[in-house]
Amino acid sequence: MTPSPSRQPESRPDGAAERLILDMRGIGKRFPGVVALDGVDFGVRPGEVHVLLGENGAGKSTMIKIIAGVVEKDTGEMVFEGGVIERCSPALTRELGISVIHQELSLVRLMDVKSNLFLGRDLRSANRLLGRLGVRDEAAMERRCREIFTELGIEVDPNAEVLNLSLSDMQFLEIAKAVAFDAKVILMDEPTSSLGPGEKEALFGVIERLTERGIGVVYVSHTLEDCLAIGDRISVLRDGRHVGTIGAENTDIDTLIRMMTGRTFSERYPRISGKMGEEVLEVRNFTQTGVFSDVSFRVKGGEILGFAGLVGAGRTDLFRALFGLERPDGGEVFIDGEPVRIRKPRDAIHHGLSFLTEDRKNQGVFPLLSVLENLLITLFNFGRESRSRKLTRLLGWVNGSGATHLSRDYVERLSIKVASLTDQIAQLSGGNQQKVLLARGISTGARIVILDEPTKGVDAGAKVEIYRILEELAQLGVAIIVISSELPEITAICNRIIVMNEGRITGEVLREDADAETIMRYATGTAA
Amino acid sequence: MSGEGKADSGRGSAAQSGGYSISSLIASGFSRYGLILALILLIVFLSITAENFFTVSNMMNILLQSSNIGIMAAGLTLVIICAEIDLSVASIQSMGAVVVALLLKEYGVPIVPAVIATLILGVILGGVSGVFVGWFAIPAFILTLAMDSLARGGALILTGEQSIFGLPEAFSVVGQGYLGPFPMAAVIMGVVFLAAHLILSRTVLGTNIYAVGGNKEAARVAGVNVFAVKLFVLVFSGFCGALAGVVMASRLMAAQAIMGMFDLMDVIAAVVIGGASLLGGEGRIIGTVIGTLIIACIRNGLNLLGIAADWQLLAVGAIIILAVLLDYVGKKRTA
Ligand SMILES: Nc1ncnc2c1ncn2[C@@H]1O[C@H](COP(=O)(O)OP(=O)(O)OP(=O)(O)O)[C@@H](O)[C@H]1O
Ligand SMILES: [Mg+2]
Repeated sequence: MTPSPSRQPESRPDGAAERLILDMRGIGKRFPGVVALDGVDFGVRPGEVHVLLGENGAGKSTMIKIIAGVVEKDTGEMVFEGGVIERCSPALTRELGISVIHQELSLVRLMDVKSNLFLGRDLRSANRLLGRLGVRDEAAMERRCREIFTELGIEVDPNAEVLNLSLSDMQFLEIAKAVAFDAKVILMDEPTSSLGPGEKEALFGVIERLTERGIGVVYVSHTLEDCLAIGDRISVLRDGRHVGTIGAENTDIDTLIRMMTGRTFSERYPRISGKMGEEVLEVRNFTQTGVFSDVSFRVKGGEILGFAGLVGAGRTDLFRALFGLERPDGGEVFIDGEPVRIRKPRDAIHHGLSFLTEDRKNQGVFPLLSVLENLLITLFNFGRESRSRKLTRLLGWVNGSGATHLSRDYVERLSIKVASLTDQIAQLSGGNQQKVLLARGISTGARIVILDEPTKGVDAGAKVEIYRILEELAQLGVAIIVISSELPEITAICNRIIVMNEGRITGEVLREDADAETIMRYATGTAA
Repeated sequence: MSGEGKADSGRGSAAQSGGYSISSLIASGFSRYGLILALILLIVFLSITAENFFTVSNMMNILLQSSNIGIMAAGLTLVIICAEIDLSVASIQSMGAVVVALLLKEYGVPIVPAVIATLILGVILGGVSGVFVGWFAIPAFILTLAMDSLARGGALILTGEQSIFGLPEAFSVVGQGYLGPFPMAAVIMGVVFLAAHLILSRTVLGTNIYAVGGNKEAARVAGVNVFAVKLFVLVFSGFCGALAGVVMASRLMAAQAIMGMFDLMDVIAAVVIGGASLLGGEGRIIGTVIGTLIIACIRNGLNLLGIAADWQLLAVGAIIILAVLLDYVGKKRTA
């Protein structure tokens, strides 16, 4: 099934006899205004987890996309199992045995698990006539599905509807799909950014099972601890160049950060605090049947309040409801002690709230609009505010220079890597898109800023920058609510942490008493 | 107004290209300049085959004939970018023509108030669609189909299948007058195109139209008043429909409920050929302008070549399929 390689690769100058399934040599890729990859070598051995590390915009996703055949390389050579692949395409790489687990999953939500597993290559009935007619052998499919799941240690019902699966189970299904297609190399671009701690452990278990089968895994993540824990080798990219490749056992986090950024950080999770003032927000008995119930809490100006919990604890739903995106069944909201009714996001923004969504793709970015428009769209829609800041004139006429000025300010403050403000936001790397949304969230001058996984997909250096920006806001008396599944983050930056489990508040700890163990106990509902 | 921030945010399909290899450059070049090229080729072809085609007076004639289609296409472009559709424009056009004619002839209303009242009627009809689509989330496809039937039925009831003749002489200036070398109707079309272009490219409303069409959920989260945006595009489309009706009544100095029966086809064709995506979120007025001219040249050329109206209908259908196909191929290669 391997398409015949047209020629033998040139032998490596270093003559290394290492056995590589996939060997990317001197890969170069340019986009208008940026060099995304500049002569990068990257190889994958069978049965290894090779971590690809680098700051936002370093070129990791571009490398993954080139291997997957989604993006065409400008220069360099791709060698797979000893044969040069001249023209890569998504269909060809799949045929070769290269699978990509995209962050946006590609499952058919209305079909069951086993049908998704065999999508496009259903097992046909053994009866020749029925088989010819395309009748599926349900039993055989279920059997094979169970086999693969058992082998990988996945506990999912083959007959369940995909739509009812948790996010992590969907991800496992994607991985199982790759295995069912006889993948030899599996590429994972930030697979954990939407998983909770427990689910992450399960994913690591599955990855280990994959490597035991001799599958090479390429793993991209910004969580350095994970990279060290799961990786065998780590390759670091900086500004599109290959800085080095080292064995995971021979390195530590500080070394990696220095390789990635050329700098060192005194602290990755600084303790930040603001100027605590009067209480600005109180939520009383907030309830939405089946999602969250009887949630009450208060926040002061300048306070940084964390919401911890497992994925599915109802934190996102709670704040979507508070922001007017969902109708709660009961409960009251007070701002500055006054009761308020928030029926839609515009009301919430009027009352000084802002909300950064965790679902960047579906609820965040406008992929076809420019960086500038994505950044300023909320401000644009509040006419008086936007006129007073010289963004618009009468009738919503956009003041080009004012808008450019302000967005350039934010781009600099948050070090967003972008060639031009008029570029479509879809051209930015994931982490940089996240920063644009963060800028949108704080641009309105809100007094209560709600951030749902604010550092999702953001590199270690940029995280610290974001924490500093939150600190600045808190110093100005802005109340900040952070929903985060990253325990080191939430325990460091928040003054106080509320923990939720299955839609209820199960505990509250001050930063002084916060440790991962206590929080996990509340989060799993096992605290006495 | 430097407009730097919004000058070219790649809202046309052309700028979507991901790769920049030679082949994709050609493909993206095709979708950017292909439309103009297609128009030029068409003009060259018709100039050779139809002897009276390439003359100044025929060119002005084409502009004149395209004016009501162009006015409606401008409105529909905004609706389609917003990921909605308006199937009622052509009937609102007929309604507008009939109403302005009745006001002038039967009720003796002076020209200016009669025209204004007609335009307001268009705004109201568009507004009704907008409220149902925007507020009650009824699919525009169904609702504007119903509105199409209402407007056409209303026009028929008002006139009882009669033609209205004998409109005041001064009224002819809208559809038959000239401003310098240009037909007044074409100038009106130009103004509507310019207004639509400025709304889309220079105002917050324009950004909102693209935002709602491209990602409605994200627009809501970002604080965009989604209802107001949808209401606006349908109101604007209704306004354009009524305006096209006034222009048509003036050009023919007569009105009849069934005139412009097949115009909806040409309007949608102009917008789609112009590159606006029926999925919403992308499209440009300049594309619609060229799309309108392409349709007008085909109609005019086929007339000069003596091809009957039923065959013209066939030709327009085939051309829409061709345009959509080319767009699809262009996108596939640049993806
Ligand atoms: N389609 C594109 N058009 C233009 N520039 C692009 C395109 N895709 C990527 N880039 C640019 O190439 C560079 C590398 O992007 P890439 O997505 O590979 O970064 P990354 O390492 O995955 O970052 P992150 O950690 O933020 O996901 C960035 O500067 C990005 O803006
Ligand atoms: Mg990336």
